[in-house]
Amino acid sequence: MANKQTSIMILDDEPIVGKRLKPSLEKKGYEVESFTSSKEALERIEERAFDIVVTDLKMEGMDGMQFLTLVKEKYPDTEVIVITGFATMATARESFNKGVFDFLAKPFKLGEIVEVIARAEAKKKKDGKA
Amino acid sequence: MKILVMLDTGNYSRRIIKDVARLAKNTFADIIFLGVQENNKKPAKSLVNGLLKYQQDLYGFFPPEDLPYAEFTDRSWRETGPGKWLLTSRGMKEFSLHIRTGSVAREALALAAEVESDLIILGCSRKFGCEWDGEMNVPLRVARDAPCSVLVIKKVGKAKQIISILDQSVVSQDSLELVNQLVTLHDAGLKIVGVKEKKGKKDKIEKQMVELLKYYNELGIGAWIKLMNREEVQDYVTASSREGIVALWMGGRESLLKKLFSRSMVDKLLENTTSSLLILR
Amino acid sequence: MLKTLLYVDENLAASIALRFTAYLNKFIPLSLFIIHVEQPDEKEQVGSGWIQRAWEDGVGANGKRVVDRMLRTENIDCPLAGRPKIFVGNRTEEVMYELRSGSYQLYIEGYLTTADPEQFYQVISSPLYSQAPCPVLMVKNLSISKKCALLCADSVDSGELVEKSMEILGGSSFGFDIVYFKFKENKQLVTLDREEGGRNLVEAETLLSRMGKRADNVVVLSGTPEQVGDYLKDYALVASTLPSRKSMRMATLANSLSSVLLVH
Repeated sequence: MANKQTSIMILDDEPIVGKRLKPSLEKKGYEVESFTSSKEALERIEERAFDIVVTDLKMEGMDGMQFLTLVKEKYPDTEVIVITGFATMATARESFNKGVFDFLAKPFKLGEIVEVIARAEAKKKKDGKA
Repeated sequence: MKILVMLDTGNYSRRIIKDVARLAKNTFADIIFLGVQENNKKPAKSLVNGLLKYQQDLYGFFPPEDLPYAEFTDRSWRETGPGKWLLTSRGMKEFSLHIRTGSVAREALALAAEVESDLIILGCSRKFGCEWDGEMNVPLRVARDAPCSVLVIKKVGKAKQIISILDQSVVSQDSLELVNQLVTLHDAGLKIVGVKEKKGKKDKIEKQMVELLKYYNELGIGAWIKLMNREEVQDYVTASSREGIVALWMGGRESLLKKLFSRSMVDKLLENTTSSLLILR
Repeated sequence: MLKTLLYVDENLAASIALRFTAYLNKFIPLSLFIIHVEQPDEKEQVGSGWIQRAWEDGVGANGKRVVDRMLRTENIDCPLAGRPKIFVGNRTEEVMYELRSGSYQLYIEGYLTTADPEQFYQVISSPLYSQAPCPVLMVKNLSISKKCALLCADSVDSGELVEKSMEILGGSSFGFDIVYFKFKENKQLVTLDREEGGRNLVEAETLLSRMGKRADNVVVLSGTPEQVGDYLKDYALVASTLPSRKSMRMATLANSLSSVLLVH
């Protein structure tokens, strides 16, 4: 890891995702905050920036797409990774149009998302933004 | 999501590419095509050409601007072990072709474990129910022993309903996610049919079904539950296979379905149903 | 507000019924009361006078805990109009007494769908259903649908079906379809011309329009109870007159995956 820890926000209304992902990413040296409510995640986004945001597309309270838009508007340099249990061509296309780094359909193995996060981190470092 | 697609030069393999493409288009999955040959000196030309043709067919289903896979920079196969070759490309998502030597079912199961695929997809010849050219019981062996979920495509195209048969074994989150994706992909309804054993465990299966019903209801997915005695299941499955994809949860160690749909039963099911069959793990 | 009594127990049928009731409340404003009956073994009953009263209090307290636990677990978004009513005794008798004395307009309970029409018939022919002073809603599944079906057939009294169903659903924001069922051993469900529904169907439509309502769709279906039962799954509920005997319509309701509103 570089001097500065890469910060990651995980937002998924199914607690199991954060529960599985957070310890695994922390073990790899990332700084991770996990949320199940989009409202709380949004409040946190108002307070600070994250290098990488992992968000679910179908969440109660606020649509993941809306959340992704808000994050990208406020922090264009933040890399957003979208995960979804309800993948459609339209949602994938819309996500990419909004500038997401990657789109992952559930189910996926932990290794798969860890690998995507590593690529997002590498990109940020290459761009000199992390 | 990682999808392993088993292919050969049969018509049934050619037919499934469209369905694989539809799933890939929606999920942006990493795709692995596997072909298995008998000879182990070098990749057989017919198989190589077949797999490359399938790759082009798959790519052809994507509008160019949406294609998440890249073309191969060169077509030189890398030997990854005795009788094993690999050709891979990395676009936004990974696309790879594997050629292996030996038994089709065994190689597919081994590769699925190696790459940690979430789903294996294969077609089958409907000439004798559900068969694979040149080797006996391939769909059955893969469906029975795979480390992940398996979709045997018999009927291509959209399904109206996903009929999920559930017993008292544990339902994994991954299998739920897979059902979600299929329901979304087919814009289908979801029936959750619980199989009761004669004695005991009734509460457990009912509890699991109601939990599933609540889960899907909260996600805004039309789902319905229905309870059934084990002796009624086979007829029901055969009858409902006309309506859509039959999904069997066969995950847990104590799976009743595993016992109920023993080797010959899964075979029969594969043989008798007209629909595609999804084995969930 | 529709004065409604919902039976709650610590089981899965009740868990579905609670959730469905909360969903129903979005379409029909309910004044919701909850009832639970503790049914002790006759052997358990002890003594007389204050000893029996103390024992009954103990059993009743247990019932209250059951209901509290269910309400806490399900955490439904539907306010209760009063404290849960907990009784000790025979379930049918206590529920019937409460329905009569409380002048309820609707009784709701859960029922987990099986493929067995006989089991369904046992339930709907029981005194609680056949002698209930108000319609009974049998909750079989949860729903995301915004439509109800009125199940009509040759043997159905259209007047009773429409009038009684509209007493419950008339003020709701549900859309309505009339589904006319004709039994035939078809390989697949067949949709027939509207004229095939005959006089009964015309009467149902006329009555509905007299009440200022209109069916969004009128469908005449020919098929088996299994096929029609399956067709009905896309409705939040299916309203029907209470079948008084075993019939194809009864089997259709048994096979319906949707909840069933039985009027009589």
